[in-house]
Amino acid sequence: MMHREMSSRLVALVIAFSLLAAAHAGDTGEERKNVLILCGERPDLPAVRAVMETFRERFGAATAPRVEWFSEYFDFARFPAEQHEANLVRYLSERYAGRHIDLVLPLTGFALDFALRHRDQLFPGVPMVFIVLDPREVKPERLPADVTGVTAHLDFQRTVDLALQLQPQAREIVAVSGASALDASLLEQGGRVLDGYKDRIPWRAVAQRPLREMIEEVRRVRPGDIVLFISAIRDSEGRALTIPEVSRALVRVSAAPIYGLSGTVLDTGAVGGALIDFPALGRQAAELALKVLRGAQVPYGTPETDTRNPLIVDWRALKKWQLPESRLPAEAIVRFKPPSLWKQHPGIIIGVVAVMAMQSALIARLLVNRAKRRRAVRALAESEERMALAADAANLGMWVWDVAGEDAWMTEQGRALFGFKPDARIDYSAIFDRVHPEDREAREAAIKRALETQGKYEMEYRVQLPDGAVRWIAARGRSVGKANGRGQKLLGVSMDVTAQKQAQEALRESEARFRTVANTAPVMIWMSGTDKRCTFFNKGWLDFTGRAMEQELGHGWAEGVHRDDFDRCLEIYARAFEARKTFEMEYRLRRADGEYRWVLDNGTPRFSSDGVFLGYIGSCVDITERKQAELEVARQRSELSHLARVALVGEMATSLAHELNQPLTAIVANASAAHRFLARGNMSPDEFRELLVDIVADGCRAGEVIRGIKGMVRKVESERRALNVNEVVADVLRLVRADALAHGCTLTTKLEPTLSPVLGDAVQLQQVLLNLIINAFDAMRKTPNAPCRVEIQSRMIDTHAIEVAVRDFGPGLPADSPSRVFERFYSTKGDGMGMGLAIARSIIEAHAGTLDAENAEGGGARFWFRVPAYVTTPAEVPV
Amino acid sequence: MSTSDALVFVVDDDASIRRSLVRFFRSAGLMAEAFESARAYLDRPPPAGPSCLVLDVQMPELNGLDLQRALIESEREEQIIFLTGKGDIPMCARAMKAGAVDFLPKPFKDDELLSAVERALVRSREQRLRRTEQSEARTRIATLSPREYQVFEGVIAGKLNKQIAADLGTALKTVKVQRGRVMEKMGVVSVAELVRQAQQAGVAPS
Repeated sequence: MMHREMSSRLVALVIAFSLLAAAHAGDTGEERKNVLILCGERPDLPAVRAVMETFRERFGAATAPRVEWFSEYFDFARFPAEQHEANLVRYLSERYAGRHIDLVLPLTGFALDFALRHRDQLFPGVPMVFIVLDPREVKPERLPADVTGVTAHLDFQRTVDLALQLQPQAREIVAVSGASALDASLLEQGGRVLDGYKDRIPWRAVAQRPLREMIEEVRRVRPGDIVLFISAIRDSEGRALTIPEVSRALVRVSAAPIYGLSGTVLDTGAVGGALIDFPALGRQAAELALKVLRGAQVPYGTPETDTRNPLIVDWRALKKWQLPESRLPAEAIVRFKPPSLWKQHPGIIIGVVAVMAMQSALIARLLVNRAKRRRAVRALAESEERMALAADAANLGMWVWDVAGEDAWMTEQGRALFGFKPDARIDYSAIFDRVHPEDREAREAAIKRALETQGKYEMEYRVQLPDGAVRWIAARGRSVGKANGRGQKLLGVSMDVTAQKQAQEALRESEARFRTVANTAPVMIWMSGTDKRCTFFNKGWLDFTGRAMEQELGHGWAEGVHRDDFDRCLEIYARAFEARKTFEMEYRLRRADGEYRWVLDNGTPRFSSDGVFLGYIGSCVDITERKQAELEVARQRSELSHLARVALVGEMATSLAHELNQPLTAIVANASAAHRFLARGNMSPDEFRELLVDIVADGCRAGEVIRGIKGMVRKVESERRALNVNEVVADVLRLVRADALAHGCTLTTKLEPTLSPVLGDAVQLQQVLLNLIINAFDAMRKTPNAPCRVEIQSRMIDTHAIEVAVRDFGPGLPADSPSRVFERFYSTKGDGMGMGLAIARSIIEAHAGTLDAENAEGGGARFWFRVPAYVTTPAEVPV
Repeated sequence: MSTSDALVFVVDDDASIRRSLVRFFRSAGLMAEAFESARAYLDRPPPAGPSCLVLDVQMPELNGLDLQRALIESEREEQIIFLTGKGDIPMCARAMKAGAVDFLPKPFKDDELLSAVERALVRSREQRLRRTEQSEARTRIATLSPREYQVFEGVIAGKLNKQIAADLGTALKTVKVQRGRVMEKMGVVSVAELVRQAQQAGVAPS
């Protein structure tokens, strides 16, 4: 049988060679043809690329004619023909005026229409070969005889049939389409087909939307339903799209399997369908074009212009959406399937089987022609030697079992596999006895099936050796001869797969062990694969969310995450994922009772022992209580700091009154002056204007003071934003200026002009600074003879922190331990200042900073706080 | 007010107060001049004509009260009106005791401030008058010979010629002649007038 196959292959090869030779002989050598491609779409569309690639490839393979290419891409989807037609015609006629075009190749229906409309003007009498994606766009009766081409067609029928075969339980088909004219026309075409299925399954369209809405709609499709992605050249916001990019986006979010119609959905994660095979289309068109160029006429409608879409399915998508491979129709081509043990060594196995087939043929001939026996024996010996060599290399045992005679023949390796001595007689029952009792029945059934159907035998089973050891055998064979007839044989090979089996078993065990541990752990555990989709949730998680594993798998878990947290989490996850880094995030997750609980999620990348990235594993704990406690602490701190601020402002009331009196005094003086000037009637308008400007300025100044006070005493929620610390200092200086005067104190500042921003609450930081400055004033009161001086300094510490220091020239801190100041202040009761410092410290700590004090060189105390610089890398934004 | 030769000085560290006060005084027909600190005022030569000083109490470095003290110490007797946004009673008392004309809160009432300035200028004018009289009297006294001065002292002390002669150990007749020369040099005709001149010159009877 193999023999025959091989010879037929050889025949095919010979024919192919002779065809090539004939083609070669027909070439005229130096002939050169000009081919103009008129593409109605843009060159970067994957379908266009695929078609053009194989089209030119085929031309390249032909030795003649030599072709000079010209291409025009009209992009009619974005630049409608009706608006630009006149210009295009003028442009083309001018551009190609001096050139003889031998063949025009319109690509897409719009391009064909355009070319036909203006053929007489632009390319009179030039033959055309078109490639059109929708047969309805071609009117065969209106085509001139020298215009032909190939049409792809979207095969909705067979794609829907495939989907329903794979998902008989589906409740709905969601047809997704873009917003371009082509998208709309294809959707309409598909709609008519889908209407035909109305009795079996309802359908609805998601079309004429912006891309993100399309994605959102698909995200909501229930698992188990069917998404039929028809086409998307453009969305409703005018964005140019490609089918693979949209398909990938849909696959990422969809819980339901996605089917497509275009070959470009292949390898995007979609299941597949009766797909347009663009490369094949290009090749077919090229064949046609070559013929036309050589002078042949192949009218549209002949078999050479006909196409049929192959049914192609992505094996990985089947696994992902758990669609059983067994439901695939026979014609389906499964792509991207990882090779099985057998597929990894097809050469050896085919070789071995072929050798065996030849051997049996030899034996048969021996029986017929005894005269050639000696030669045959020699040939047999040679053949056996070759066979043994091949088998040895693959560690395969070979066997032939004569069904009627019960006798079995086995190579030495085969005997070793079953623990038979090299010279022992082997028959069916001898082998049967060696098979592990639990596997005997299944093996018998497999053999029986092979014999009855004259088909393949494929089986993995255990063998129990005489010494008690168990060995896994993988066997594969084929029935030869008539079913139940005399001379029927089963021949095949066997292989020791114990090691692989053990490895599989160990893996299974370790997985089972992991699941046990995971399910009994008091935390929620999840795992994801290399595609970011979740592959496992432990019992803790499922109990918490009250959902089934199937609901949570893939991206199902995301439904439980609070809407407000989702985007942030996804970003953190995706960013960590790309970098293969650990991450930590907090979000609200819906508990089975519907309440959203805060959880802390720690994710870690997983790697195999040889360092291959496998995905992520993460654990979550419910931190709602902790979070609430934190919020309560924050609330109390804000309350306390508010009280302290009110107290502070109270302490400064008289100074602030003075600060307010200054502008008021100026206003009164100016107004009185105006009054008098007007009474005397001797004021110039310019002077009057100047006076009014002064009044306004002083009014504003008074307002600012009031705002400053209001800001301090107002009870506000803590609000973090990026701040310039120098501005905080300036605000505080405005408030304390009067107080400094009252204390007879000189305030000097040394501010670094270019400070990084800090993330903080302006009012709270003002409060801290105010506290420190007023403390400094008070400290100076204790040394009345020293000149009262307070220095405020801001500066960067390296690049990551900002320091603000307040230095006085008072008596300083207790020399033995400066930090005791804080304790002592803290324990001082009733005194506003004492509370103030403690609160100041807690405020700074809430800003992830430190507040401390030291004795300054040259006398006096120096209080300073440092807060981290706010770096606007999103990864470091606190959440 | 018709005091066109009078000058009002404003000392305040707040620029907008300075501007507004100068403008305000100008609207009342008064010449005004402003200084941003006590130090700047002290650097200016003392005013020649009648003047008053409107002074902010709270200022960095030398404050209003410090300036008042400094002026007294250098025997300048400017008429001072204090303005304060934050005055307390002790501060006010101290200022008044040291001779301030008034102590007004900020913001001030315009007529209050103007009447205080008026009073201050009246006092300044009187003061100037006193100073003129004094210097005139002193000039006259300076023309007396030592013996005539001794006689002058005796007369303003209310002594009789006989007593003076006894004190000086000269003849009564000589004293009479010398007394006549004193009255002539001092430009007076009565003892009462002589005593007043002595007072103006600040000479106390010994």
